[in-house]
Amino acid sequence: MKPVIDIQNVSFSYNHSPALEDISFMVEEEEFFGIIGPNAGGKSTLLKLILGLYKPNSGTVKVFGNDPEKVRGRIGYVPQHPGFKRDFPINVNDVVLLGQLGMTMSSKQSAIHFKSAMNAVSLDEIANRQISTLSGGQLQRVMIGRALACAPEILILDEPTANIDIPTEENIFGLLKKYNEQMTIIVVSHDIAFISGYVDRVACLNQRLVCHHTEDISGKTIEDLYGASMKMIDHHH
Amino acid sequence: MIDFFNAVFEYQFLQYAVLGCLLASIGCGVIGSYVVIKKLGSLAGGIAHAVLAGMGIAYFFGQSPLLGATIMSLVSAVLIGMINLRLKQNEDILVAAFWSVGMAIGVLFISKTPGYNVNLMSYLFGNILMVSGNDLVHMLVLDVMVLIVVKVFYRQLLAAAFDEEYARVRGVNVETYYILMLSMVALTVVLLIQIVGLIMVIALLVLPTASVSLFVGSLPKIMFYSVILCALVTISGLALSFQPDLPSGAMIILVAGIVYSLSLLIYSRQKGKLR
Repeated sequence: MKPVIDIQNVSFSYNHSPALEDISFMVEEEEFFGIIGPNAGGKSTLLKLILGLYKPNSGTVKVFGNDPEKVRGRIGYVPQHPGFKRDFPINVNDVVLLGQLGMTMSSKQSAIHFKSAMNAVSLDEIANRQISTLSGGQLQRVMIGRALACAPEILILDEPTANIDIPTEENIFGLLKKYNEQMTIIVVSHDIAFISGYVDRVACLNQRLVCHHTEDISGKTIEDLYGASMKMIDHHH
Repeated sequence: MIDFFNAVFEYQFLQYAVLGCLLASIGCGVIGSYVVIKKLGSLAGGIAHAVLAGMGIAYFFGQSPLLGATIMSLVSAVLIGMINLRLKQNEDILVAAFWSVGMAIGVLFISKTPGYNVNLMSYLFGNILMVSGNDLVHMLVLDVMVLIVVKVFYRQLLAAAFDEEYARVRGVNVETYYILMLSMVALTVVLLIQIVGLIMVIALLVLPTASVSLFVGSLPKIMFYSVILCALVTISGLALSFQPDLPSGAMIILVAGIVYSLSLLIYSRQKGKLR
């Protein structure tokens, strides 16, 4: 297994308020990697560094051994909040198609990937709906479909289950588990109970970072991270 | 109205005027759609008024005011765009500065140009009846340029307008397309100055599209219907102004305003029914 993401001694701050301090970790090919941590712990920031949307103040971020901007066409991204206005005149079909921008493959290939993305998150029946008419869960599926449309090698999801109900949540993680056979998946969540049932490894992030295999998560780690005792959920793999 | 249509067959200047309205409607509908969905109205206003500087300078040196306007519109679009990207919070101040400083420069140059300036009024308020064959060619060239850019970069422009961050993730250079978009707005403003003058350009640029976008839900459709509505508005404004000998630009804007008000009324009724 070779690392697809290699982050070494990365620090980042917004106007002098530090968000990440001396972060180092690697993610391997076809790993299902979870990142948990309290709000404002730097989770989204870390993802944006991997996407090359931000540049680290110090340290290096390498994706497929390259600068992130050069390879981000191979990454699918599901942001925590939609970066668009709900009243924008566009339908589901066209949003998912925009996920294929910047791809270098034949139109036949893109059509296949488009179809399977639409299928995967059951968007076919709402393909022609305006995005302004969608529910929160439907919108979340659209954003996942958009990320899958480019047949990414890495899929990055920021709180993919924040705005949806439990059955949909289970669906989404089941789906990700399936896709994990073909791609590396990084998922950010504040929901430690849920995420640890699916992922191979969890990073706990609160400005600094500690990595664990899922079976090693103990009450002590969580207490250290959140600074208060939390209910512990046991997992046996 | 009947008189107007009879007169169109009879007089060449009216045929030119109608042709000018049609040509202007193409750019107006297509670029107006971006202005409305991306909320670029005030920036477009700043560019429109700054254009007077280019016209004044061209006039002073005995060059074509329309050429001066074209160059100045592009210069101010790029400048406004670049400054706006770097100092994000100052958009309205930036618009105000370009708006009035541009006009001030224009007024200074025009005041120092020898001779009696009949044309100044027509730049400010438009006079479609004075459109020449050359102007029509100029308008056609602007239309073709705008359409080519929109056709070639349609997906990139849509992505950047829809979701900046995601467009960036997909490798779209959002800043470049923002400047390109403003440049297209600038060329369209020049196109419309012929019809309604630079003071009233914004209304024609946004009102037909804003009316259409209340009822239509995709960008290509908004563009298509906006072009048609824009043509209807300009030609009916022209026709209404003809017999009582009223200023055509002002009449066109009035029609655009009425169409938008009616659209809002119908839209709010429809919404009321849904509730």
